[in-house]
Amino acid sequence: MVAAPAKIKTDSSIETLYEAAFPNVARFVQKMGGNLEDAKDIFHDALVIFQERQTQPNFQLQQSSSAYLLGIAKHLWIRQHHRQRKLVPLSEAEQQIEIPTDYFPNLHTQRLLQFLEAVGQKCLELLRSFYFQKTALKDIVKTQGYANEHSVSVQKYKCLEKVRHSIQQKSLRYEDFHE
Amino acid sequence: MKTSMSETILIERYLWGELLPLEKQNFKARLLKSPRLRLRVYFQKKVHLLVKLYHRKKLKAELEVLHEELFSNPDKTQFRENIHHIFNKG
Repeated sequence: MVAAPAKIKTDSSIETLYEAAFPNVARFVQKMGGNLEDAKDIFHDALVIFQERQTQPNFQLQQSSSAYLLGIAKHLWIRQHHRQRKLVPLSEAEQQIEIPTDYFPNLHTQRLLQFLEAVGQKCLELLRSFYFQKTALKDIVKTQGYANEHSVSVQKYKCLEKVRHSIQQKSLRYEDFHE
Repeated sequence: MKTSMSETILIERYLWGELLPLEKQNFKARLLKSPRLRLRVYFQKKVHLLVKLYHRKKLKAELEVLHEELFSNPDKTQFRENIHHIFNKG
């Protein structure tokens, strides 16, 4: 069973940021001819990218969070609507912003992810806790139903091997057909 | 011959830049000689990418919940009206 998405961590701060920054992005998207749904999608991608940037060791925010999010949103818009590139002037600070190169994976990688979500949800969840949520072992024991910390640790590597093995099988088969 | 798990741990430490200089040197020498190890490293790196994509997807699902909440919570009427005003002014 897949649990309903939990509320995003750091609840109140993300909510405050959402309320403060979304109107600017909405105004920008409206001006470019987009609707509320477009604004929401772009804003959510911008928040995800911003959160990732913040965890990078050398990241220094040169402007307000809202301004930075608007900058990412502009880049995302330009990427989706290439012909409007000249209509979106970027400030010097905005020009420095980069969208992660792996943010838009190719079709094969998207399919691999769908496949893993279907067959290896528990492993994805465990590896996510390790890599991206920096969850302490004892908390993983509690929340994901393991016996103790040692078994979590062992399970992490078993999961790595299992996932690696399945994508290796899948990818080699894919390459057989596509090369 | 190393056990499968100890090799996975070694690859993991290599990918996260945690090997000591000598360990790294040995590992790189093994990489040069072993296509099988190179393939494992390549796919273990791919696992990292897939977990990252999964993480992003989950974050977006959480943001969707937050969005729904902001657009249905009676306390957030002002916020909602501001947003609708932006799109309704044409």
